Amino acid sequence: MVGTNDLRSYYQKFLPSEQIYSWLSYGDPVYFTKREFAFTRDEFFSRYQSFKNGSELKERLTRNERDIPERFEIGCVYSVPPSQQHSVSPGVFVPISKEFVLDIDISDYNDIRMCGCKESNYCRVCWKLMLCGVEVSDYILTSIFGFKNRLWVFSGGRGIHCWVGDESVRSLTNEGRSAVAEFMHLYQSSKDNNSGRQGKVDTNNLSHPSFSTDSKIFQICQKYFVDVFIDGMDILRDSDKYEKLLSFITDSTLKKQVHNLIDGLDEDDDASETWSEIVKVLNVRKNNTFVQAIVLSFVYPRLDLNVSKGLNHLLKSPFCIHPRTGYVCVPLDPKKDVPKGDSQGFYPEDQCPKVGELVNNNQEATKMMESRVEIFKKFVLDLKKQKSQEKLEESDSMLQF
Amino acid sequence: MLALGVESRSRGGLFGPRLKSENKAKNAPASDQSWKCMYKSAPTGEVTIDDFEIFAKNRANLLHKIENWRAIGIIGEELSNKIRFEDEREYGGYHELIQSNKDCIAHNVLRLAYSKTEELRRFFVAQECALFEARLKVNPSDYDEIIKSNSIDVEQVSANEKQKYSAELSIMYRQLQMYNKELKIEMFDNARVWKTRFTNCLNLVSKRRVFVVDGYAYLFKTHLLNVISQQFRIVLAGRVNAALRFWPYLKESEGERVVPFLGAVTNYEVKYSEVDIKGGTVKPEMINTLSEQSFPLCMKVLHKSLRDKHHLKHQGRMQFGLFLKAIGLSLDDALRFWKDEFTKNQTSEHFEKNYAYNIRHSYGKEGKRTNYSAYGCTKIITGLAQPTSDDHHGCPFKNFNESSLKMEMRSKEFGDESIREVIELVQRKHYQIACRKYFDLTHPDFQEVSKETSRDEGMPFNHPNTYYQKSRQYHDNNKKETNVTK
Ligand SMILES: [Zn+2]
Repeated sequence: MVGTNDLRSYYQKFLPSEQIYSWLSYGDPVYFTKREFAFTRDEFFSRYQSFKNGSELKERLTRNERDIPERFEIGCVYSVPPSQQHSVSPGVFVPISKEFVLDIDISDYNDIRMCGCKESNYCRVCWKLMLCGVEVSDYILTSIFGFKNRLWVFSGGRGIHCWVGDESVRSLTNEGRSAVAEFMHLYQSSKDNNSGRQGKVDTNNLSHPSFSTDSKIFQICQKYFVDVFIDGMDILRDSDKYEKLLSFITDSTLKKQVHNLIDGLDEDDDASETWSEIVKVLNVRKNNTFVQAIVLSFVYPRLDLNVSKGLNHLLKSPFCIHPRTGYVCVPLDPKKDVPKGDSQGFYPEDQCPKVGELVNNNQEATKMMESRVEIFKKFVLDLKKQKSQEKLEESDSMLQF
Repeated sequence: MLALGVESRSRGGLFGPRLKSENKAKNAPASDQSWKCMYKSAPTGEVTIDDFEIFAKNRANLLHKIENWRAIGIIGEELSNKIRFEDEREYGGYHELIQSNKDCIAHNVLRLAYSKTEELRRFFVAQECALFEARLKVNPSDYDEIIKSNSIDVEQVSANEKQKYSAELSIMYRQLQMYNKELKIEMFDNARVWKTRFTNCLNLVSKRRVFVVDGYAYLFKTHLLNVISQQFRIVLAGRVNAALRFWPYLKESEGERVVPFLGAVTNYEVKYSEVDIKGGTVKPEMINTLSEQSFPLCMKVLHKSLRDKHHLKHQGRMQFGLFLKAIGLSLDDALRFWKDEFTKNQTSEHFEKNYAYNIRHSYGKEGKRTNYSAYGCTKIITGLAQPTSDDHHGCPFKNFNESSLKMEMRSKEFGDESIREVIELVQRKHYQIACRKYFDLTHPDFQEVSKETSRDEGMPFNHPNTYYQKSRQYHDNNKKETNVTK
């Protein structure tokens, strides 16, 4: 558990509240005042708080030593500042806009984490599934939907969040948010499980060209599949593990052939070559989706749909402290923090500062924190550039008339 | 006569500036008032009050039919065909419809009437959109014109751009052909391609029916239907919300007839025709058997409670008493029937003093001598006070909790699957369809036995007495069949 004193000095010395303000105001100070914040301390949860600026927010976090929030969450922007909701007539206080958000948790991958990790535990191997989530989702958000302004954040616990803040995205209706989330969601959904996180992709969803074996998304997924499962968990050398893979091949002849290939795998052989052989065998049959179903079911991001669909869903703020782990919820760079070349990408133990280390002036942690704040500053700066670029284009097009 | 336009509201117009009515040539381009222009401008000219009311009632009827079809799971082409059949009957064929003042007036009147509550607005938008889509499907060659006249942001892509994504687009096209047989004649190379912001076709995006790049969805001709109907839905939702603000003005200018009518048209229900039922055909002694065989559940519940407790409260007496009157129980028999039950707990003096008057009154023999008609389903479901624990009136499909409803159906030995279906309908608030399902389950092979000429596909009866009549018809035929085979 994180102590109150540590939290307080973290908020005072390290929390980049001015940058948070700069981000959430999107160039409009009034917009910031209508944003909901929610605070949690012990069992107390206070919603519908709002502030004029970053220093007011910081003030709220630090003013009273008996009421230092363990964490704070960000909600949506309302028609009226949430703290004044009771002074307006009913029906006037309504949600207006919010970032489109994604939430991916490692505990939703339990059925295929054959490294032995369960629930909120993770290791260097299965953690990469989160980075796959970042890489695939970031591709979909940018290349498919054309969104520009994304902030990826480590949740401090077992997962990863993304905030998409383009102006057109913030004004999406609930239907619009649902459509994007549904487009991204390839898993089988059952009636009782509305969040829809199930262990197998629905093969009916695989015919779309954005997910075909030629697609960029499939290529990213296959890279992670080989890295995490074939090499990392070595699933082809353990019958308990490859059974899961075989279960996707519903054709008994093909299944037999694949089984033979796996049986022929020797101690010194490169398992990833055997995987390539398996792919060849499976692709002999025209129009089958076995390879796609295997690769995507193992690594394709498992989104918590409910978080994305609703306009008024709260999500933990970047830079707050995870109460269990003490990790700071730090931003990630979707290009630099994923595995590339020799780099294994972001791993919390290596790259995420903890609150205790920071307040005790641990040099390494302080450096980590600085570099994470830099990522955030760059994100906020890009936001400003994007905004002034749009203004320029707007005035250009005005001049043309 | 009722002026539809308004120069000034005090002059009594309903929708917009009064214009001279133009002589419209056949096949003239669609006017701003037409469905094709999403009823952009309000109807003009004048209409008689009677027409005004009939147009609106018929449209409300059509919308209820559409809702019922959708509630029992009719979708796609089958739904469109059903809607079009009724649509043509009311407004004529394709060309007549475009010129139809009737369509425009009906839509505008109901838009106003249905603007009153969130629930009515949702109903209106959903059914009008289904109607609109069914009309769109008739003539896809209109799409270009509709997109243009409603300024929908869709553009056709150049040959170069189509070429750039030809690998992906040809896959999408092949999949589309599998769903849509008519397209088979056209080759991908000849197919035109459009694009629009993905937010203009959310349905297609969420079902992954389109290829999306950089925020733009690429569309083939049939997809334009989704884009146009999404636009219609948004425009209509905005206008029906705006219509709410009209009410205060109306109250001043149209107070006497139009306002009560607009209030009533949303409760519009099918009146049960009592013409062919003669008093005296049903005797009190027959009621037990008839209840078991042919009463709808709401009346069974009232009957059972009367038998058990020898009493019914006022709303229950009205609902049940008028039903009995309409199945042919004469006034004298009714007095005898009620007295027999009530006097098991009280003196006959008390009964005569407190209840007999009411019964004679409901038969039109006392007071204002109004001949009251039996309650229809809408009144029973929404028009009566919410029953408390010792009330038994209302609709059991709405008022019973799930477990009592299940228990009731198990006692009738319905299968688990059937019980689940009824419960699901109830959960979706389709009480009348649940009741109809209950009827079908208690009247096996109803269509065949009753020799119903047109299949009615489980449409609700809308009136307890229709339920009863259909059931009697069924049992009479069943008896004949049995006699013949003997
Ligand atoms: Zn692990």
